[in-house]
Amino acid sequence: MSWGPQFMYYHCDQCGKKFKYETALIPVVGDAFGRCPVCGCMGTYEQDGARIPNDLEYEEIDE
Amino acid sequence: MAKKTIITAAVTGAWPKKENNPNVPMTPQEIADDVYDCWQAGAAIAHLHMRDDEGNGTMDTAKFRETLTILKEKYPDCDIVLNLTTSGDIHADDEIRKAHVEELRPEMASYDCGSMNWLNSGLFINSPKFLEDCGLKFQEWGVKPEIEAFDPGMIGNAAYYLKKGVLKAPLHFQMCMGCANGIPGSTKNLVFMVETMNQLCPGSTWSCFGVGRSAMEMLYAAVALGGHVRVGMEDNVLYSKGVLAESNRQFVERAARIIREFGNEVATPDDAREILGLRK
Repeated sequence: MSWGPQFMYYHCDQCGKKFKYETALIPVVGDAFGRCPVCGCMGTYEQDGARIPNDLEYEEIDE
Repeated sequence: MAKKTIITAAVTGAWPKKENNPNVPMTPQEIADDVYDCWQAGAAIAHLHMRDDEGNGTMDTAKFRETLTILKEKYPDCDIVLNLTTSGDIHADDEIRKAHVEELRPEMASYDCGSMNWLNSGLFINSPKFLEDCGLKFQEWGVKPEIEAFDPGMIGNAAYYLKKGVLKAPLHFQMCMGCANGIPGSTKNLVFMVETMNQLCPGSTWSCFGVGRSAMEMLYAAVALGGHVRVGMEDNVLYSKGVLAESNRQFVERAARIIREFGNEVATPDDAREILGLRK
């Protein structure tokens, strides 16, 4: 059984962007994990887990 | 002679919903149709989960029975190997988790060889009693366990059950890579998993899948390292970055292309039976 990848979901307080990081990226991107891809500021954590119903509203950051 | 590589199609799993990808099969009819589609594209094994009427993972024997009946009646030419999950609902009790295996006697069933924290939110319990019961019952019922290993410790646990007679050699492993709280999905880690398996359980066969960003690396690495592969929407609802998969068949077709371009043959269900030593 797998539940697919685990994500951490964020939004940006500055620009409002919604985005997500797969937790497997933690060792890859280090301190950049959780940062807004537009503003570069740390996003506000919302929740984590397998894909949520509105998962597609959140841009997946993969590098 | 070219090596034959087995493709397992894991078409639905217990988690993704239509909201995540409208092409995820949910009903017994949809699941059976997808299995047939994947078989036509080259899948030799179907790893099956079921969903309840709300789309949540369920271990309801009636759903498994209905799906297998549709497959048998609507697609009598389909000789795919059936591999039923024993872990489709973390709230199901141990008896329910194996009741469908006892009744339906698939050729294979999953055997998650240890417990873990699941997604940092729940417990995925596979107690010693459950594993001993399943191991011994599966032998009695002629069902080959597919040993799902989420980390090297689970391979060690399989070796323990092998020595104890709960499991019978040769074993077949599914290396589950990149799942939260399991071993991260990288080629280096897959090599370590396979080396651990070869050391502790020599003569075993293995397959592999990676979830999320590790999916493609694990697919290519498994083929290159001589393993078998698992693909499908249980593990990934995206075909590539930002692109929803159109079907499970699409994943199977890609795996088949990679296997052939590598120089291997795509194993038929009967090839898989021979490779894995299954009863038919």
